Amino acid sequence: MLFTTVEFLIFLAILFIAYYLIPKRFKKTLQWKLLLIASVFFYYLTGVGNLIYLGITIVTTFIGALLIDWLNRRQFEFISANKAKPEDSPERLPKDALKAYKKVNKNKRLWVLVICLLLNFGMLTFVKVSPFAILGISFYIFRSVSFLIDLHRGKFKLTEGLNPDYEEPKTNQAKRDVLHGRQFNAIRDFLKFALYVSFFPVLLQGPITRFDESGTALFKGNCFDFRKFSFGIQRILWGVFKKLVIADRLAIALITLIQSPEQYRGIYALMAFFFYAIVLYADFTGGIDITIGIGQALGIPMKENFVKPFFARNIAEYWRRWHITMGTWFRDYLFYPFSVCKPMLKFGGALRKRIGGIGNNLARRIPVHLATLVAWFATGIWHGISWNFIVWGLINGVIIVISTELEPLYNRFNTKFPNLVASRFYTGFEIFRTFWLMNLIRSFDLYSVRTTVGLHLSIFTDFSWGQFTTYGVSTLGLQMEDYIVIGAALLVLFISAYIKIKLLNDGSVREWLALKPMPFRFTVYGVLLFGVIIFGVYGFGYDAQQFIYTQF
Amino acid sequence: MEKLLKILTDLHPDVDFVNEKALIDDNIIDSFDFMTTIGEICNEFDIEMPADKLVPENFNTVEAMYALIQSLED
Repeated sequence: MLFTTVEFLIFLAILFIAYYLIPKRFKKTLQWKLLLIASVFFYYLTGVGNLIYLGITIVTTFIGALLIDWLNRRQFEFISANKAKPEDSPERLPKDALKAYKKVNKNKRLWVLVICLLLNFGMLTFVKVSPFAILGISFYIFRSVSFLIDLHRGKFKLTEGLNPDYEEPKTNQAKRDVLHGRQFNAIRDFLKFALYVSFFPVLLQGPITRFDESGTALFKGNCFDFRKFSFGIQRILWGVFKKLVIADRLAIALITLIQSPEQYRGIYALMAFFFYAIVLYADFTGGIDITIGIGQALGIPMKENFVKPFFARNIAEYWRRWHITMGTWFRDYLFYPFSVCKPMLKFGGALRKRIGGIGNNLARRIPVHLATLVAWFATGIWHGISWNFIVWGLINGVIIVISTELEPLYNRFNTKFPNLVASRFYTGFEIFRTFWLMNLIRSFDLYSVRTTVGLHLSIFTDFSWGQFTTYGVSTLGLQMEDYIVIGAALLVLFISAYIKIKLLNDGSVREWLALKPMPFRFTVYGVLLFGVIIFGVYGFGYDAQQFIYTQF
Repeated sequence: MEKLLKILTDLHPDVDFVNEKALIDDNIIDSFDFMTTIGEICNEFDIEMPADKLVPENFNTVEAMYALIQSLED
């Protein structure tokens, strides 16, 4: 059941009604159970077999969480019992023995974590190399793994989410209790954990939510709030508009282009890269708009996954704006720990000794560059275990490393030509440069490495306007009318971005709209709604297109 | 504390470490600078940095960093 089908619409409508019809005193106990049933049903429709994989992840990470929590508690009790004994008692362990005890316990916790990670990432690898696809598997594995690692790291803020009645501790004793899991009872609720992992709006393509960010709201019991609800519905409509009017329509031409790379070279290759940027943007951000919109309508806030990615001025900034929750996942759980692991710190120390002096700066940077490349290699593999994704990841990493190394050069340029750098023209140039560079990098998603390189070369060797004027664009499966519709829809996106950035200083367009007179407001809603109904790609003759990111 | 301040200002002469209270939260130090800084701190103070300490609260201010280093030196 896709987000953009009539079935899903009916499913949502029934869920919304049932969710808010639950009487107030039962909201806390029943709403989340309803969400769990809805989520399992939603995932069941993607295939019964898929449920087994989801089940394995939930059960293994939950058992891991219980074990880590149990080890934590045991240590706490042991140490408190030891402290309670009189100082001169022979039974009281000395400091060193306590330290050794803590170390053994720490290793045990680490083992639990490692086994859980191996199990889940092993399963993920197995699915990635096998021919069958399990929708959304990497998203829910990432979500549950982040939970487990956070728990292992002792990030006990999680309690707030796990226990809806949780209050910030006031006394020292209360703080210690929180730290050592006394308030952690809600984690023992297997079903609550299952909902956190399988919550249907984020199940298939993210955002990769963290428990401490949106876990709380799942269980707190939400009353109907008309404003939030209507904003949520508007966001859903906006997402559907992007997906059905722009992404799915232009995808028809894109698929034609990428299916015959030997035919569509030169100017068509350029076109394929450009179309892909639009399709992926409209598809992925549209899907996330729907997800966040559903969350908003249910009273469950989620982190944004995109912040105007095409306005980025360099690649590193682009990745802080595009698929943010994936970037921060790799940062927090791979890049950071890898950078500070013992061998890396040793490596850094050795480098300092070797190339100290002038090279000292470089000695400091090399280990971090290495960690950057490792993180990007992993990000590539995450998208798919094949050469094109590995190359894709490494190119991203290499460009970021190179641009970091070139920073002094940039700074010199900036101080030499301050007027130029401050000008709009230069900003525009940077944005355009990043956009095209990303198009080039992104093209590795589409073809094998060899074909991608060949197509890039063909832009220089095989470029002819004649080819274009002879065949035009109508051979790509779309008519001129289709391009006009896509162009008009893109214009709507631009106007919305313009209002958001220029008029509202990055404020909310929906809030701005809510203050406008009714006729104006409803015209806008109407244009979007009828835009989707009339110009959306759906119904007979069209296969509803799965969201691109669900395959990762 | 002096030693820490010296390391930090050597690395980032343009940042006002004494008064800045949200070095990480306000993105004054990005993830790359964050990691090079930590590498330097670990090297200079001869400590190891467990990954679970890499949270903004520990690095938003110089005082927090210093407290963390002291706890790791013990």
